[in-house]
Amino acid sequence: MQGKKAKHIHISEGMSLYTRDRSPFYWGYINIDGEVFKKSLKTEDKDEAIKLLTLWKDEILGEGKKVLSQKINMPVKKTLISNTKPFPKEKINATRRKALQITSSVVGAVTVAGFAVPFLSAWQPSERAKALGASVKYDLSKLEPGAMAVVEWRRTPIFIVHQTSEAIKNLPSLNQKVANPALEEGVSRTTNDKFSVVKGVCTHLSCAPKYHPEIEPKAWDEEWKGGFFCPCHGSKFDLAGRVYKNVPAPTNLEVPPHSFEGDTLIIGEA
Amino acid sequence: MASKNSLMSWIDRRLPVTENLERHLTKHPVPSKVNFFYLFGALLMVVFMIQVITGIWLMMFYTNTEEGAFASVEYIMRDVEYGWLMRYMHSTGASAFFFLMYFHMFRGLLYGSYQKPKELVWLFGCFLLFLLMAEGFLGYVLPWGQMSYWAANVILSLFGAIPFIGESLQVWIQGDYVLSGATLSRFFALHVVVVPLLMIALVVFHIFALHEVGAGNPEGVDIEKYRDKTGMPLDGKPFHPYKTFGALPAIGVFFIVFFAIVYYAPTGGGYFIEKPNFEEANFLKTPEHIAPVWYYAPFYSILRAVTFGIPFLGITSKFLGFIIFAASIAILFIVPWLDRSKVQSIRYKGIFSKIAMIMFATSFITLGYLGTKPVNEIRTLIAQICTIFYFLPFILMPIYTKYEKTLEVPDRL
Repeated sequence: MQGKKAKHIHISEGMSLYTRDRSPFYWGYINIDGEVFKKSLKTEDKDEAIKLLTLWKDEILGEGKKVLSQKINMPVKKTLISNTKPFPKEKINATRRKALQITSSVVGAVTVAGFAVPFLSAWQPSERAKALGASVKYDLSKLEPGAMAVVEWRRTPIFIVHQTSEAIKNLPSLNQKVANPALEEGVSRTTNDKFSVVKGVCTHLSCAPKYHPEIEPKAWDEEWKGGFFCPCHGSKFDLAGRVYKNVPAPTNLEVPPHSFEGDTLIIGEA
Repeated sequence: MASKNSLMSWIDRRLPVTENLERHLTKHPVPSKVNFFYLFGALLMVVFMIQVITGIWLMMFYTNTEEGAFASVEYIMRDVEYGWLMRYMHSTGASAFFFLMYFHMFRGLLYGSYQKPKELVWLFGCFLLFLLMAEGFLGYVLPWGQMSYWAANVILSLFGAIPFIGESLQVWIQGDYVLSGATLSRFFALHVVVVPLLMIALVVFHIFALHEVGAGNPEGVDIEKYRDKTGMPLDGKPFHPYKTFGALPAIGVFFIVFFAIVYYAPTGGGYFIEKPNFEEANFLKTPEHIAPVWYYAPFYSILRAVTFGIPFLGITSKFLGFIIFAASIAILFIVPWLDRSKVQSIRYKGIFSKIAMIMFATSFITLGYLGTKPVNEIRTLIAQICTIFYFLPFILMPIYTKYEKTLEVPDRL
């Protein structure tokens, strides 16, 4: 039975049917310029109810203002009935309204942005993370020529290579093979000719390059003069961390900020 | 009147339950003839529920700290009653999710499920793929194994490749100068709350939009054209019981396969859970070979295939790789506007569309295979060719779909 579904059924402008919980009948609802009329139509049949409602509206409006029957065939749409009169257009101050809209939008945007600051800042490294990122020291006197030490700084492996004299001799000869041969930063890319200090993180996708100081043919290079080879994607670097041409890694192995104090290497402070 | 009905009408008066159930579940008309490709949507819902439920239970035992994460996963596996089942269902569920998603989307490409007026259904679906990829990535970091750590490093370093802002953006995402516990705990929050909430919202949008425009069929026939007196399309059937019961055997078969994997091959031979992930994350030791889980492999292959940059624009090969990788997903979003064909289904499209689909599928699978293997010159070359073949079907789509000869689509299913 239709009568149990309690809702408004919009018929046309200012006219709607509605049903009540406890009544099996359709009720009519007419709104003429804010003035509201309603009554039970005493029928359970919807088409009948629409007819009665139209007749009733004609009755209220009087002759000469009859509701066109086509209007009744408009698609049935649920809608809420408003009996507030629209605000007269001539009384709207458009400039004032626009100004209010802009002001409130700007204030709203600033508020949102302001509130976003603490939430976005919370993602920055915390004070503890910053403290853990402080510098570390390494005693170079323990490192034999040709050996490499790995020191952890900011949880990044730092490769410290004690270059052999042969390696230092070979480095300039690799200038043809590396992408960026500039050695103005020093043969070993540090202020100390004997030691190279590089981040052990491939500049391609952060893998750890492996240390291969041997001067012998390798699967990845038949004229290998020693250096670093990244097993992930095949990037090659020489012993000073300079990247070879035509490998995925775009740049040389990064040199972390560091300084030498006698036999002590300080990583993290330039 | 029966008390049940008056209770229902009491509720319906206040919340339109019956109306919406009928609209979205029971009476919703669906095409009467579809093929197995149309089952993946229902299966995806099943997998989504598996992920949500097992995920909630895993959360009860998991610790989201750098010190505790790996141990808590071991604890779940060894000490928690049925903990192993929860975890393996969740990890296998992730693989199943992608597997079904790829087929579901390929169905869409084959039968034009993105064409007017289904653009939004497709768009929401593409967003869901993107969110699923993010969700899978975030989740893979949580066990804090070696592969969790190093794979995440690879992906996060992609953000670092963005010119100018890259480095600080990466530090901001990580919450540290390196990937650390700070990263882990925020990934946990994103994985269990933010992304799933977005996904649920998008699933709702996806389905509501679908029910507004109506489900498609392999013929590309508009079933709304012919209706009987009750308004039911002549080639349509109500969702319930026709499709609900139709999907049950499929769900049964799916469960047999799913649980066979969960019980007998939960690691999928190293493709679902990679071997290095049974070792705790170590900052100083990169695994010999970093490979993504199988479902990211095609995209990872595209990323790696870019071994060159655009030096005069200051674009490094790494950043260009990132752009192409992003484009490989982004291009899916615009497919509704690339296809200019008069017909929906591949069955009535011309030869070029068919070649394009084969090209796309072949390159996707090949890229997937290559993505799990270490690189060498020949593989890189193949990956580069496949990357081109991946994009070509989309880039040329406006041309071949417009000019190719199509067959006439029948009126009825």
